[in-house]
Amino acid sequence: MTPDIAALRRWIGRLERPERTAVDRGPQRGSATRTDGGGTAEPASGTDRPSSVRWTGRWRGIAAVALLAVAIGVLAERPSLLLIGALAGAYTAYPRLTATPDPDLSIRRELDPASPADGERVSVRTTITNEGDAALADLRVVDGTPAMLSVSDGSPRRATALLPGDEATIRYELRARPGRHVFRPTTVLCRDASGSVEVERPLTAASSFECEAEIPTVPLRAQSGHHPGPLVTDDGGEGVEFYSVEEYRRGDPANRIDWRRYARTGELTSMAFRTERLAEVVVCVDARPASYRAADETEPHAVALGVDAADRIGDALFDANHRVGLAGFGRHVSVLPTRSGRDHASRFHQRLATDPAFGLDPPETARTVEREGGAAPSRSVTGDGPSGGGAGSDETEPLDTQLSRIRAEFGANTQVVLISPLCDDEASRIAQRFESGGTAVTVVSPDVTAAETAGGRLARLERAQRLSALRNAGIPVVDWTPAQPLGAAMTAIVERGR
Amino acid sequence: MTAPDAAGPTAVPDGETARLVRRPAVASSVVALAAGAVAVSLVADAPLQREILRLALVGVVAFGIGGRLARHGETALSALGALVALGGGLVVLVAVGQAATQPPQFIDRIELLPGIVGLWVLSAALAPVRFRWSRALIDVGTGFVFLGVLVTGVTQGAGTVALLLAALGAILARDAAENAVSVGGQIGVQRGARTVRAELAHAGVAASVGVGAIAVALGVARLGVDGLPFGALVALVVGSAVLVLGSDR
Repeated sequence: MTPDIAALRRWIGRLERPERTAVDRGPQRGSATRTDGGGTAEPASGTDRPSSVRWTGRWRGIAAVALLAVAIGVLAERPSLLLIGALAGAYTAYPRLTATPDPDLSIRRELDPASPADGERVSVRTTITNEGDAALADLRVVDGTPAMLSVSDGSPRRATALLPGDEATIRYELRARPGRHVFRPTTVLCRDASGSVEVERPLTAASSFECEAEIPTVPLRAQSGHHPGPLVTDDGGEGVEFYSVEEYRRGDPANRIDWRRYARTGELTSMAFRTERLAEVVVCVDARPASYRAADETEPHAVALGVDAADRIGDALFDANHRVGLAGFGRHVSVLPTRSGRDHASRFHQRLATDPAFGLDPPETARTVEREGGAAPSRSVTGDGPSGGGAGSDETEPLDTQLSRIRAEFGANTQVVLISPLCDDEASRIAQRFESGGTAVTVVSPDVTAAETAGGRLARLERAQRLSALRNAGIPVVDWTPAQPLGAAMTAIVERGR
Repeated sequence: MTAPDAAGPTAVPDGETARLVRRPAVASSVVALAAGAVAVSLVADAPLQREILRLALVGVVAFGIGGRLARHGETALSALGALVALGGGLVVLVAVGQAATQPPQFIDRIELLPGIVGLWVLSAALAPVRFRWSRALIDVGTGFVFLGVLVTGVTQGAGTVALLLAALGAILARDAAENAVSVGGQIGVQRGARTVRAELAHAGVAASVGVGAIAVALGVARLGVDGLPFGALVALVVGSAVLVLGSDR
């Protein structure tokens, strides 16, 4: 690809990004209403949607071949080589004979079953119909699987040729996980017959399904505060659970004096109970570009896992009447102060679902680059979401500023549940910085390392070292393998803590 | 044995994730190799050349299939694949040696050699030896095949129609191979990713354009272009090429 085309593409990208975000985000994550899974259809004619056009440069070299054949033909005086030159010349003109495709497609999606149980397989049938008058010679479809789910059978990708009125169906199976899952826009790549120009267009069929989520027990760290609440601390005082027996000191309340022991021995002792306090917890999601990692392209990346975990941890904490706040850092920073109550809970979920700080679309830099005549990769190439967050990447605040904005929200008794895949040293440094600032930190770390390659094994080893370094520093770490339920991983650490 | 197909991707055991497998797409790869083989066989038309070419083709196909298998997930299959690829490579080397020594005339040797080497490189690109190298290897491989065609044109070792068809074969081989890499990169070759229809449509349209161009070129040649001064013909062809070049796409 020549630089001017690259510049053009960047320019097109800039133009369409805010619009695309507006189109995609609205139905995708903002609305809390659930469309029924059983075949939601939305005719999506391409005209009002942003699309991008790329030249692949497939036939660029052929002109040189034509001239080479002609040159040799002239030098050797062989008319047949001139004819070869003419043949190659015809292919030079070939890309100009085919028009840039303007696909007019509709999409519908059927899910079965509409509300699966955890671990159940959901079979998806996405049908794409050519509504236009022109035949589409080369249509490549990448269905927008929900960010959190992995494909268990079949493939959400297909290439086909569609005559007018024809339709193609993509069948595959997803393995359901707890939570609400919204399908992302389907990416359609349409090439002309010569393969020299490629039109990319998102198609939206807004379907979603819900899978019953179990609420985990969140391992909070014992830390005393002032408001009584459900968090059992290591401080002696008022409470229910027996803590210790101490020698009576002046001023101890009379109802805590162990009168039986006084009758038996004549010694005055007072009993202490574990104080139960209200916890102030900030759930903090690490959404730095480095955290948009996945074990495989078909697996959800760590930020998607983290946002899902934050959602459920928030539920658990709100259920226990704790005061809960939310923070996210990375490309954007987002801070929601700690409060309790139902209104605040819905604000918490709303913020998690809509704030760009928790955007599930990986940044451009995190994607693999594949050469297609030099063309830059599209999201379809990696199967990731559209580049919604890319538009604001220029005005990203430095990480330190973001962290200090988050820390400014911490009170004296706030503790942090930091959700990070611990893909780099910076993540564990952030945890340690929070901890050294006097805030109790619990790290929940979704494991997205893979063991297939040497590089993957190295990353796994490095992550294991970060985990043990954090544990040595006294920070509890929940090592969460995404295949296993979050609750089980949490319970394991609660037991270890006792 | 969970693999239903020698060239196919890993079958996915129950409960595991179906992964995206990036390899050159199978149908286009087969079309590309076939087109390349036709191109070489059209220019190498002496019986001895054909015999050597047949041997080379066996080696090239074994190399390609073995290479595919070698990148298979299962250890046993990939070991088998590596062996097959090694054997295929040896057969190709033997064929190259024969092509370089056996034909009595020097021009017969240089007609055949680039073709065999080109087909070998092409099959290495589509196996693939390494997916990132595929496009470069395709350019090199089909470049060699086309070089063989040009050499034959200079030595006048084949008729005009055969020469034109051979050039068409080389061009189609490159187009189909590029398409295989492009489809394989975007859609993948994992189980359930159906791409055959798009690939065949692409190859079919490209072939029909070439056949039409050959018909026109031969028709013009029949009209008695021989009567024209050679220089005028050259000017015409160069002029049209420059015109088309000027419209950059």
